[in-house]
Amino acid sequence: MKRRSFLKSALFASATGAAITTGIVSPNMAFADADTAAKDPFKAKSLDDVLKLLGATDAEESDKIKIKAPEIAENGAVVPVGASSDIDGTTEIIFITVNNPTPLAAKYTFGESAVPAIKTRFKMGKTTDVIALVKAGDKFYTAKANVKVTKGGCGG
Amino acid sequence: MKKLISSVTLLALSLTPFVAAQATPEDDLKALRAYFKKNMPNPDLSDYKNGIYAFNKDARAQWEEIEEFPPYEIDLDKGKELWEKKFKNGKSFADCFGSDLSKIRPKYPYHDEAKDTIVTLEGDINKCLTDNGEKPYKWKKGNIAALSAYIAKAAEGTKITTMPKTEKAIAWYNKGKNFFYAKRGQLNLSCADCHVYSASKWIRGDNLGPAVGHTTHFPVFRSKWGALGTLHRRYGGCNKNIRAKPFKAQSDEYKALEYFEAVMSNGLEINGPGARK
Amino acid sequence: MAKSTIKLRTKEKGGKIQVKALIKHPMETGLRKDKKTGKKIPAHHITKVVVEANGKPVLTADWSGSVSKNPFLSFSYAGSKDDTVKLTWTDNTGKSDSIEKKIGEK
Repeated sequence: MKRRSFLKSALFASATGAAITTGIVSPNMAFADADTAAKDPFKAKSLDDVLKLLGATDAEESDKIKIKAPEIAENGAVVPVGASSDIDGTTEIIFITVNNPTPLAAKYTFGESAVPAIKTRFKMGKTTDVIALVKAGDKFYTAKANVKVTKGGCGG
Repeated sequence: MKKLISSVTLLALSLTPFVAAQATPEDDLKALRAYFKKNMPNPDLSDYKNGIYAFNKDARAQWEEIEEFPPYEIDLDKGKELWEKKFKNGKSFADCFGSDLSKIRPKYPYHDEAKDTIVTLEGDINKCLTDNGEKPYKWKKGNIAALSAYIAKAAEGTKITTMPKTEKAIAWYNKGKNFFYAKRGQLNLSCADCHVYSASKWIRGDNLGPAVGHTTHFPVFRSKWGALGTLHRRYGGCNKNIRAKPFKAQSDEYKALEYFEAVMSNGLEINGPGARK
Repeated sequence: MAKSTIKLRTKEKGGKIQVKALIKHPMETGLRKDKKTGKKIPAHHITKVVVEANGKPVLTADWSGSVSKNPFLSFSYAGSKDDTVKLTWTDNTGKSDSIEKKIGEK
């Protein structure tokens, strides 16, 4: 972990070395960007990286999470998805569209008086699992659904 | 004797979706409805206004989710704005159409006996603009669709009563009917091939909607377009898909087709604008 | 007065306030290519949505470009019909819009 991040920053430093010396990018700014980009779960490109960056690699499956998504999406551009959590102390519901280029689709944080349930609409580029990741206290729980996305025959 | 003849006629009618070209539009309508009743899984006639959602449960569930707060709500606001905006000469659309919004959409499409042409809602929208010195809208999307949607919404639930009565009107109807049943394009398909003979079946990834109910829910917000579009926009797109040369929006061909299709939806409720895939 | 990009609907039912919103926004992922020029259309999507009831946040959403164009959201919170609900969105270009409504107000 440490070595990897060292290597990452070293590579970044050499690439932006010129930028830094010409004063376009200040050293602090360059490293801060690298850190932010590397740590932003919204930029992660795999389910594993998303879970790692969210600190949710130990998430357990739970039947107290209901996820509603169609079996076959009518149109991948607008797929209605909903989720609700019956787990005590739910503070967040996070949606991951696993096969999208950047899988982390949305994160919803609930205030004290909010009911931990949400409905929304996502774009899906191809057939994918959709994971509802729930944060309650310090722990994470999951439920998933699979949505088939087909290319139409007769769009028009 | 009369009873025997009419039941034989009805039986004959039910075996094909239409009778000879000389049949009346009313006969065609009965025959088409009977064909659907006999050959498709059976929704209530009133549900045909919802197209394929009358047949496909999973698609219907998604459609209902979207209709809970449909994207065309934004366009309806735009339509209201356009309706209320005064032209440079001080007049507005109400001066052309009358101020009772709910009475406008049900009139269209209709046959103008004097001019011997079919008049569509979009046609009259642009006529109103040009008559009052304003620039006409583009035919297939944007302002024309937004205004058409606002006008359609105001007539929600009103039944379609389009039915040709005069010889000239019936001629236009037959023009549309022939277009509907004629094969065209590289794929050599007619509208009927998909929307009558294969309605509720699948063509690759698409579930085919029935011709009965085709015109009730226009203009339509398609997820594919991410926008509203008019009926003629859809006709053009559909023709392109079977690799036929599309006709121009508001061309005689598409106006005749719209007229024919409206007759086939006679008695169904107007429910535009609608959300579709 | 500039037109709002947000349509907000609120309803009180059994001590809960149902909040539904439809926002006009292109939600470009940044991956789509312009058909005519072949160039990538730059990312332009909402990154944050905050819904407040009487000034207190009841829902915060962090969005990616995977959220559909003209995004929709629906949720509920325990509240009263005298509440005022405010929704604010911010996108990756720094643009923002907000709307405030009393419960049931059109």
